[in-house]
Amino acid sequence: MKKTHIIALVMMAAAIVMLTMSSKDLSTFSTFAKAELDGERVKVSGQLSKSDPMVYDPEVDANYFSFYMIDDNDDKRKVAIRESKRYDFERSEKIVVTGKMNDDGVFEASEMLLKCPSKYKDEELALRKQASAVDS
Amino acid sequence: MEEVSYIGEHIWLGQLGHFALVAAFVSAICASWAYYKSLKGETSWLSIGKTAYITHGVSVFLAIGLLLYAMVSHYYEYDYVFRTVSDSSQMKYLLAAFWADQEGSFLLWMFWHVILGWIFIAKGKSWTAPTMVTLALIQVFLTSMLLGVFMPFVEGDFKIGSNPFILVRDVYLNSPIFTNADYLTQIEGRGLNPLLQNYWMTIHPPVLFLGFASVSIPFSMAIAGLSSDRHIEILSPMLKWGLFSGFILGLGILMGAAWAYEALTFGGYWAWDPVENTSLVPWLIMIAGIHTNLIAKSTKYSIKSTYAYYLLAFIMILYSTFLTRSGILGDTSVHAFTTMGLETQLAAFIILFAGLGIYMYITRHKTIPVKPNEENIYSREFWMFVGALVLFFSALLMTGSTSLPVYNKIVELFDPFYTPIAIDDPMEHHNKFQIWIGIFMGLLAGTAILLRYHAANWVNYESKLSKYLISISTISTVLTFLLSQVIDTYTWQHYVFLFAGLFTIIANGTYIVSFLKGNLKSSGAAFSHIGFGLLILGIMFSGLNQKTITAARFLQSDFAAGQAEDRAIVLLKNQPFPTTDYWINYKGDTLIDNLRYYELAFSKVNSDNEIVESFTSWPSSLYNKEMTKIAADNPGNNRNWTYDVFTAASPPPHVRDLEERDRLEDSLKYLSHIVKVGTVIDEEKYTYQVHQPIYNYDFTGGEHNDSSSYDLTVGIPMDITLKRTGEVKRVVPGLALKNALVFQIPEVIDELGIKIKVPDTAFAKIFTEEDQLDYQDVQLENGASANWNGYQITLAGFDRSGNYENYQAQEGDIAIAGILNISAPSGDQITQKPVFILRNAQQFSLKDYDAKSGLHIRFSNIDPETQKMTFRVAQDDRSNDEVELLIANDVPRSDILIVESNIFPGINLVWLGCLMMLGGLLLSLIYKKQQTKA
Repeated sequence: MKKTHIIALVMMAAAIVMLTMSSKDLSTFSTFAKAELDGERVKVSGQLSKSDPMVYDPEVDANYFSFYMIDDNDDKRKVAIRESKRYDFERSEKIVVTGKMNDDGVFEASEMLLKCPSKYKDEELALRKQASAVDS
Repeated sequence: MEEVSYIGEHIWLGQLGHFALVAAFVSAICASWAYYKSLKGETSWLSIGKTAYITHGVSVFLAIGLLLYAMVSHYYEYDYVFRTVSDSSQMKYLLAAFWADQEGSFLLWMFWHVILGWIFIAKGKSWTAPTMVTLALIQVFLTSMLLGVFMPFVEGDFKIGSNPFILVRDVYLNSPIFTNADYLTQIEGRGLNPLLQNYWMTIHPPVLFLGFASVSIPFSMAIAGLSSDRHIEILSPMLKWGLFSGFILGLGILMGAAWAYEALTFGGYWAWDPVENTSLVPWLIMIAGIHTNLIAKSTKYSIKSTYAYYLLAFIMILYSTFLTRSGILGDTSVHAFTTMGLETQLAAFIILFAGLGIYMYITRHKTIPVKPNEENIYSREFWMFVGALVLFFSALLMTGSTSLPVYNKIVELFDPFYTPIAIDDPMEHHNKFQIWIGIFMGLLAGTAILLRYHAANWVNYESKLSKYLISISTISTVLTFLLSQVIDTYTWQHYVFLFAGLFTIIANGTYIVSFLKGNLKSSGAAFSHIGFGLLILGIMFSGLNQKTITAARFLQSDFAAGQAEDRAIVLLKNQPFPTTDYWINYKGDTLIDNLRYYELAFSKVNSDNEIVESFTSWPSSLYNKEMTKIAADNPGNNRNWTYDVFTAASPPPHVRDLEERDRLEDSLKYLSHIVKVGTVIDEEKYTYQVHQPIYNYDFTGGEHNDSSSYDLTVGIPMDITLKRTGEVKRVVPGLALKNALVFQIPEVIDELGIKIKVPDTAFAKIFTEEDQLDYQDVQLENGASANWNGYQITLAGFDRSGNYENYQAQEGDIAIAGILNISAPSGDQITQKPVFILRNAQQFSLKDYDAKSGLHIRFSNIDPETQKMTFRVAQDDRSNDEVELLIANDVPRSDILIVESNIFPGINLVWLGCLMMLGGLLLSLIYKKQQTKA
């Protein structure tokens, strides 16, 4: 066998070993209920509960935003994250938060990924609107 | 549904466009087939292939032209136009809108294949036919993505391709609007996503897609080479196309990184996002291919791996297309395309071309010449081969991690209870591995370049090389130590990484100076390697020394999860705020078109409180086309040679969005205050005094910044004294009338958190209604004067022009306006023009009103005999010196700005390094071309 082939094989093996060993970098998609049970850092995906209050008051704390989220098991919990409220948060179709459940039953997220719709198949066609500038 | 014949549609365009796509599809099949036949010795097929591919190109251009024409003409009956264009779309974003969505970007990709194919037909010589077979076949598949043919007899909605010329009414089948034949007058397109209204969107996709398309050429050539026996002959032309591809694809990726850095994802040029990774992977493999191609050309080793890398690069382009366009990345990427329903077709695309590549390789690799002895361990080719392997290894790791969603999907197929997994922190995960790739690459790129092909004359060269390597390593070590003083190196790996970067810079610099004697033309490789070393330094500086200057200096401890730091601060207007590096002062904002710019003054002071550095940052907010809410934020960037400062600013929610503001307004509790003009009223935090109303008050400009024009306005001036500071503020809340609607014009005093309005009901009190007025007659001859309640009224003449305010002429009207010059007791001079009308033998009068004096004047009668004109005069009752005000407390401030600012030191090293890497590829390409010509 040629030296170059040996090196190639060693590298392939190393790549496979590295990828399988990096399992601790992985986290599973979980639910609020499971997160509460084991207190681990998990990813939870779900939707924004639009009927519940969202709190973002920059005058009080510019780095605190809380909202209610319904996970894929229809479990609704309060989620808090230490960052300013993102642009177009209300329009997000899907939210993925990474974090832990605290003792008060609030999910403290350290990361949040928003999936915004870029197509509106089900929505009504946008009708031509009259420009209106009404001042309150 | 009943057949409706719609008005105003341009059906011919879509039919012609679809015809062009079908023609492109058929002619691509013809071209591929004809070129294939020509390989069997029947040269007559050659010109058929050429004609077919030219026809194919013309058809693609026609489809592109028609779609662009529909977009320019705002033909909203076409779904693609409807999705990407709106009435207010600017021409400069036309191209950006064209390739903003799936179908347009496929067309762009095909466009480049056409251009490259034509170039190849003209210049490819004996390689034209065998290469064009595959290139045309690729075009067959790309065109099929746009066919939009529904398969009959197949279950479900299985369709081949998505037609860019599909009509809106065929997409929104059940929308009631299509019962209206005239629906086109009622719809307007959505327009380009504001986030994409950016010059990067105009220049990044064409370069990236040219990069994608360019990878097809080495792939097609590799197939051509494998199917022929001319494995040596193809190396030189294939290398040129490989270099071109490496350059252009790299440039496309770099532009994407620059865009991400500048605008899209605030906080960096590379986030290891799957979309970014899958575009980098083919490039890495292409670069590996270029290296083995060089080896093969110089030594005849590594021909097989050259083929393998070039084949794989294109397959990875297809895989990348599949990942980003199938929607499979859904949960893991922020900027993947939405699904187009063509996953199956894309997957088939990959399997087919991967199959073709593997089949050709397996059946033909035995014909590739193999050298009897293996590479010498002291030869350049050996270590270059290892370097190419490291690149491939990097691509392998990246693909493995990025493919996790695919793995999840596959496992889910077999195990419905499987919970999907994802990488927790992609940045950390990839950096951990790729730092080692960088280290190996740096060391190899520095060492291999100093070695010689075939280890020529090794006996004599060995000692010379050892001296070089020892001194380069020594200098690198010293520099690593020095640089580590200014870079925040956290781990020992960082030191090694820094060393590898410096090592490759110095080794390749030495190579250019001592070995090539400064011959820049042939120094492409060394040039690229130095670029790579600089990139390492740039990554170290910008990555490790990057910091959020607005981050809280003391971490809040009541928030347990993770190490989330508070990154944003709140700035009050004109109150400088200290951050770790600069004082930031929010000085105000300016609206230009639909962009609001915030003026943030940064200044750095030394211990003696002297300003040592100052600059202004202009972050901005982009409003939507209706100006009702902010659609996107653009950070302000202050570029310097050694560092960049990026600042994002965002106003509070109730300022960002009219809906939020209305919600907030509804939640405010207003209390009524009836106050006497001139009296000082004492409140907890302030005192205020109301003055006489100002009629015809101009609300434009100033704090109100109200540009609407009103028929009538009144402002209530107030002086508010802040108890804390003693400062006196003049504010003027008021009312305005426009088209018989009353508008309230409020005032907000942010320092006090109060909002003041004048209630609508006050309008009738300020302006007396007609039936409450007490008119009195004043009779005047032309030129005569009379006194009315202290007002000297002179009839100065008549206006018979017929152009009077609020007057609409009718047949047979006799209308005349009296010109009255009035001297008010205050000294004001007023001119009034009441109108007398005789219509159908009946007398009418049009009132003129002067808001300031409150005078109402009518021209009620003309006595033809005495020449006496009768005017009726009345005045508003302004004896009431009480004004009603509505005041709300605890109003959130609107003069605040949420600001996050980051400093990126050494970022220019990243750009310089990348540009040098690509510049080296270009230099080699030019050098190789000149060599061939000579």
